Amino acid sequence: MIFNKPNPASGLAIYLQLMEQIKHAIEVGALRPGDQLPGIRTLAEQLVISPNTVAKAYSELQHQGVIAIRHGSGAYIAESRHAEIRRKNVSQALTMMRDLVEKLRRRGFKEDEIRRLFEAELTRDEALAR
Amino acid sequence: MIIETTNLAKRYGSTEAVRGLNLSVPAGLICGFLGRNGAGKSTTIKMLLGITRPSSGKGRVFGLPIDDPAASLEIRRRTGYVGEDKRLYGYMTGEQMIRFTRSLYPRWKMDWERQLLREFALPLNRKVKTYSKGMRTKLALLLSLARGVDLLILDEPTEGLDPVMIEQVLQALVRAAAEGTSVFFSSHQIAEVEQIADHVSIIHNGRLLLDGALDRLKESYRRVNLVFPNRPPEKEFSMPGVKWIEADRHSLSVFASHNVDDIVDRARALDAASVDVVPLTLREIYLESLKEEQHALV
Amino acid sequence: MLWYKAWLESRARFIFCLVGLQALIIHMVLAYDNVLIAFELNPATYKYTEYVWRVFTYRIQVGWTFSVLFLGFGGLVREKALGSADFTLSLPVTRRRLVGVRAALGVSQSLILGLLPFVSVPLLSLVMGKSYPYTQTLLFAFLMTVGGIVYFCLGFFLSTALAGEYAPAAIGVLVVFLVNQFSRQFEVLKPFNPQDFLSGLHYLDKSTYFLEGPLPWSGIAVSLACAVTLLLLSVGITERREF
Repeated sequence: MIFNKPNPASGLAIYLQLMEQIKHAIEVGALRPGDQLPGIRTLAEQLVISPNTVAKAYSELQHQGVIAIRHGSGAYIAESRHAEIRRKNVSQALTMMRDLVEKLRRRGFKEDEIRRLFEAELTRDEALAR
Repeated sequence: MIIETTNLAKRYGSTEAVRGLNLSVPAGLICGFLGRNGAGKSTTIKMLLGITRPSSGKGRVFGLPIDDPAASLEIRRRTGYVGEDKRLYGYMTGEQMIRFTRSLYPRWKMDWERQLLREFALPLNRKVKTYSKGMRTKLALLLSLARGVDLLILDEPTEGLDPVMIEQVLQALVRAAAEGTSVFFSSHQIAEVEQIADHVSIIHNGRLLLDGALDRLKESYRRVNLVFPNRPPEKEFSMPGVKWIEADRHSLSVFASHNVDDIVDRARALDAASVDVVPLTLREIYLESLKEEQHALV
Repeated sequence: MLWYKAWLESRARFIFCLVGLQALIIHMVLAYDNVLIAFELNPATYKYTEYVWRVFTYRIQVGWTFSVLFLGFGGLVREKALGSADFTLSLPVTRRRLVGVRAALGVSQSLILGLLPFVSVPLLSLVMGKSYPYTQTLLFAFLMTVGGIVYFCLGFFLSTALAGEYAPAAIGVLVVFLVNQFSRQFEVLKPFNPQDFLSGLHYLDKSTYFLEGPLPWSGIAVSLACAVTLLLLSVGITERREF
């Protein structure tokens, strides 16, 4: 990503302008999840703005979940919200699944029977839906 | 706080150069010290460094009292200074000035010296008295930046420099700040301060007009432009946050430091035909504050 | 490197005075014969040693006095006029040290300035086929420099007390001149005339024009006391001064 120099005389604080630039870059694909952002010092020198301003922008972005700061290696674009939420849901579903299958097994149900039960339930939903 | 003053004052004969100054500069930041020529910036800086003694009041740098000679010596060990007058020792060459200064600072940073020599391209073999003003400013900055100090106190560090050099200097200050050095620089150029300062202190007629984090100032200062169907009810706006109001026929222009929501509510309650909230640049905040100050004196 | 700075600041003056005084002494010694002729003095009766003594007193001493007076100038007040005082004062050195280094260098330079002409007299005399003992020149040198270092201190003190390019110089020259004149005008002050004192007039053996007997230690002590006082005052003034 190519950073533009923020406008100091704008009504918008420099750190907010920086945050906007980064968010915009993510939206248009100039920055992808996993991409590394420049270090605070590097970016500050490059744009000739205070390193505290860069730190503030990064900190806010991290707070908003847009970037992730890993100690020792720097700031990275976080996975997009949707992907993260999906991943969370999938992981939760897997846990629920695991619990249920465990319960059924303890009740004596075998693999084939559990599968058939799931199929029956899913087809029932389909039929209802029709 | 890396710099703190309490009612600091300096009188020269019958002139009060600095009066009742209460500075509070946090460490680890870049602080811009704004004010017109003759507002008291240089005098304040000289008091902080022990070059001049305060007439009254107190000041601390690194928590050490500025009016105690032993403490002042310690302050100067940890501070890099560029003064208003950047003439340095005319009879020394650039090289000699660097060697001289280096010998007094055990924490001198050779890497800074080398990098700045590359960037600033100074004629080291020539005597400083043959240098142009811009070259002297750059040498003075090099001498202060390479000292390896915790605090830089710079009086008009970009004076006499062209825009390219100014950017180089600001970049060097940013680099210093990134390495943990606190920067306190005075300027009458608002643009520079707005570009790199985290904290702003504005001095006017020897007194502090404004003091605070730049972002916070920009987030809370607003101009509220109102239009009323009838005579604008100026008196209704004597409320906290309102600094100064300009009235003209049906319009009111309110300069506010905070509390903008309440001001807008009041305007709507008074049936304002139009309410427009406008953010302000540092220049505008500064100039409007000056107007308020003058208005208050009248 | 404070010494280096003080040296660079005083180098030109020091070298100028050094060369000047040396040139003067060379000239005076080598011109002996011409002087004899010009003043119609009889070489058989007029002693070389008397000539040397008069040269010491009325030429070298005057030259040295004003040289060291001027060597004393400079310092922070002058730096303020030149624009570098703020830089110097922002350095991590005490004002006391700044003054001390400048004073110490100046005293050293003054001693060298005083010693060199005297030391070259015996050498030059040999060239002329005359002889002059080293012990005597060293005695005279000692008397003049140690007894007269107060002049350097005067210049030094004035440079810390007065601002302006010319004030210290003007006042300094005036003081030296007046002290000399006053002590010549008034009988009661005559024994205290500095020029005579530094030349050892009252301790000369008039037949040899050598310094015989003990040196005027009490006079030297008083002079040194004044010198030290002036230096201490200079430190005090500088420490309290506003820049």
